[in-house]
Amino acid sequence: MRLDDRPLLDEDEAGFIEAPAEEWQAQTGLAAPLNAAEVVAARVVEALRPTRVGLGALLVKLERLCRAAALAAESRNVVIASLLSDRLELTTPLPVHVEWDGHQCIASSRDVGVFGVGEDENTALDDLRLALVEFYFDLKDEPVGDRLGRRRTFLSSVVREKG
Amino acid sequence: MKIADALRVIRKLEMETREGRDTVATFRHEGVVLTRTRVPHGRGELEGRLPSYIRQDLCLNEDEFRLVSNCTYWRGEYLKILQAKGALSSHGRPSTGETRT
Repeated sequence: MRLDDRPLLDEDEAGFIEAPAEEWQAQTGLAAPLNAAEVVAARVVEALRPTRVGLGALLVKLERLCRAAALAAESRNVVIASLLSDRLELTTPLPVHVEWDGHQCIASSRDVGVFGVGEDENTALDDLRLALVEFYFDLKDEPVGDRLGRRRTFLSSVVREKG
Repeated sequence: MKIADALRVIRKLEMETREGRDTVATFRHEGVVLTRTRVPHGRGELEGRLPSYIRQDLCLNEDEFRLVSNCTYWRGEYLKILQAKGALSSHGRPSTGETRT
């Protein structure tokens, strides 16, 4: 097939490709591509543009792959300083492990054994905060086994009820 | 692993459940909570490492989790696993979980 026989990009598709990073999220509903991943994606798009093939679906998959690759290299330990709760607050920053597994971002407190999930680091950390508050109040007055008890004891040592 | 499979494991282990943002499941023996996990709402797959996090919440290794999933292990076997792993107190009965001095 000759290049000239291939379908032209339609108006929406062209706009999608040419959108700058800050408009990417608004147009695709996906998080803006990240640093090196964004550069790689842009180069691939540029290389494919002359072929004038339909690129919409390809770009979405490419963005996800690049985001996964970027975050996989960035699985790391961070600390959270707040639970963003009106019922419970941290008295000491809590170590949290954040990882991207190719499908979602998972933030977990290995000391408490609680995890949160989200499409990016911020939503995963917010989910973890909610899970920690739930864990605390669910088990606060419950008799628990040794394993859960050690985790509850640790969590109780780094939080304080508000009010 | 499908979300439905995870919920089936929870039912097989006769865990108490509470619906909220997720399904929160609690394994209780003689009134004492021994393990606790949460499974997202919805249908379809538990993707990526989520099944691994749920398995670890349940204090199971991969082989044990497979045996529970495959209907080889039930609540009684699960309790023995927890006992062997120290999720109960060293006296064979659940403790209150307080730090000993």
